[in-house]
Amino acid sequence: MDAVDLDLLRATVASVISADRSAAANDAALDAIGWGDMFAAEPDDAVGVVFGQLGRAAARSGLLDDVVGSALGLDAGAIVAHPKWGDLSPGSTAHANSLSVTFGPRFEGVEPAHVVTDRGIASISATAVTLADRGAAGFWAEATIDFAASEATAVALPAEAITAATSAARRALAHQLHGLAAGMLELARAHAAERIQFGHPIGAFQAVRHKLAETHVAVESAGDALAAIRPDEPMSVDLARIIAGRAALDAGRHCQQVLAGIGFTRDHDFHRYLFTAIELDGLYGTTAALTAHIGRQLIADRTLPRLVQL
Amino acid sequence: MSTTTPPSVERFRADLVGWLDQNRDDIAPPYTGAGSLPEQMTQLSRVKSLLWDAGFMGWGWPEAVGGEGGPAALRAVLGEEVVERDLVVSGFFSMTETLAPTLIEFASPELAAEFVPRLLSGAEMWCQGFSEPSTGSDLASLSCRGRRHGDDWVINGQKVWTSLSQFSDRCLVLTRTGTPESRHRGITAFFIDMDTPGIDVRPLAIMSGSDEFAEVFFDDVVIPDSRRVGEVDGGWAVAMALLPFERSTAFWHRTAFMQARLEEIVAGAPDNDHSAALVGEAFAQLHALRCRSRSTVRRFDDGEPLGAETSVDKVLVATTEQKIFDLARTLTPERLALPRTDDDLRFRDEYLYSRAASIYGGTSEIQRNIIARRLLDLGDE
Repeated sequence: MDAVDLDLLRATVASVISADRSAAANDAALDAIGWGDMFAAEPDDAVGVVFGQLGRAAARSGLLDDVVGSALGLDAGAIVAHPKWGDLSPGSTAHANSLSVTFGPRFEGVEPAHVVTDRGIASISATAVTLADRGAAGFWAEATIDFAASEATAVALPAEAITAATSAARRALAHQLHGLAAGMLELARAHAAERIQFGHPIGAFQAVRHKLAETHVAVESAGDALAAIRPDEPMSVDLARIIAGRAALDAGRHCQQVLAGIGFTRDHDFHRYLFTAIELDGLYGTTAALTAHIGRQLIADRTLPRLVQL
Repeated sequence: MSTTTPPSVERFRADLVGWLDQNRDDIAPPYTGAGSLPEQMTQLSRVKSLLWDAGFMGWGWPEAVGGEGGPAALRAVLGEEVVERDLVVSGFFSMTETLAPTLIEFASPELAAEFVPRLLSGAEMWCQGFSEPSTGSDLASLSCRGRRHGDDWVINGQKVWTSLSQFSDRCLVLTRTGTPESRHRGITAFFIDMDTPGIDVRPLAIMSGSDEFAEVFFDDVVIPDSRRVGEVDGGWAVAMALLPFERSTAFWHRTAFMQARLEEIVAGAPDNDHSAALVGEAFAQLHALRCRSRSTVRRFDDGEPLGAETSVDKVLVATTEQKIFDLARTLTPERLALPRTDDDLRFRDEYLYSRAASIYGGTSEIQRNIIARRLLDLGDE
């Protein structure tokens, strides 16, 4: 899609999603504007725009299940059980009959689900699931799968497919984290322009300006890293995920400080961004865990890959 | 290498790398470690001369100044490959990226055609006289005077932080030609021969190894109007025009220096969790910078105007260099505190120099101010 199309799509997506709606309502609205067809035809653009805007709006969605499901050969609309929160990759059922997983908002406790493991997918009925409470942002839930409690249909998949699914998830999450960081910056920027103290907007004070400027640098970095993703290079996805995760962390810190008291209230939208960023950070690996993972790989290789060339 | 259409970046890099490998012994520095400043300058001149004669140096520069044409990406790659191999001091090599375009754009075609080839070929070195003891971040406050005298101008005043002026043949100098209060509206740029009577160069002693900066004193220095660069009182535009050049190709060169140093660190890093976390962070930071810098070089070659958004690049360049050297200090602090080998001494110098990355070329504070006012629409302070 060209730049004009992408801008149009962004605006359209932004107009149909909202932080005030449920994940199901947002996803239905996205379906109605053609998410399924777009994702099938231009997956990178569709994911980039939709997940970026979901972040921008701090809106809930279960579409990550489609992103991962599609990489694993599942139908659109399938419910996916993602790795345990904080784990870098799907767990193993080799030595135990149970597995800790994370569910998105699609799973409400009654539907069958498809559990991603290190060897493929296990399709299970809802009776195998013990669901814990949802996260603070309201849409991620820890759960335990007890494979002995129901018949599981296992589909073995090559390791590359699991890696591709993990990478696809991280890419989508990176876009969403980038959007969250950009959304936080806009909240803080608008506040700094409007909030008057000592006869001036607080945005006139250099300490405030510099926090927002640092946040801008972080948000721009995330955008540049996402734009530089190479389809043949999974590490470029992981790095974009790290840089976007850092942007969300930095934006969280700086923007919270600028938003001060009003930003700390539940009336203000900031907490939605913060909570969402906190929850998303652990899916398919926290920013910190992924960073250390890459560091270990570099130290093992004793060289740096030349990922970005002119 | 001289053809009418520019080579692709991949082709250029392949040819260049092949030539560098073939001529490895010839082009390598004759000294170990960092070398002394005079040794570094001789090496810089030698490398540029070899690259010029081999046909690589001209790409990315207009034919009117002895170049071969082609995109800036080619000279970005040239600097990258040369810097990654530690053949030259990156900052010294990259000075060409800002000085040459300035003359090409603002000097008379005759002046540019006469002198730019000398800079490109390594026959000459040039310096930049902008900052003054009372003029740092507030460049528009400069007061070094340029007074009209018939067909000539007479320069009086002092510049500071002029890189490599003690080795330079020419200097691009900004002078106050308007009233003392005229700020950016009363500045004129000149291209001055460093052997003109009345010029005195005094190197500055800095905390990192070599005295690469100097004060330059101008005492009734007479220069012809033909050496004016740009319009009378039009020098601010000359100064501002430098930025897109510096923040595109010169920055790309610097990322290559950082990449080489980070790779050295990774090669010797201990294999533990703490080290892995820090290495990962530094690499992610470098990756962010490379993504940004590449985008900027490409935008430059696409003819897009580069403006306030390059303040983001400047902040990233400073943050990344400091992060990499902070990592090195964390992992091997003894090399900084108790340097023993030539490599330790080089590391110490480069660590100290990295502290200046957020200071020279526009401080990080100024960049954040620019980002706040121009990119975030926060109004005035």
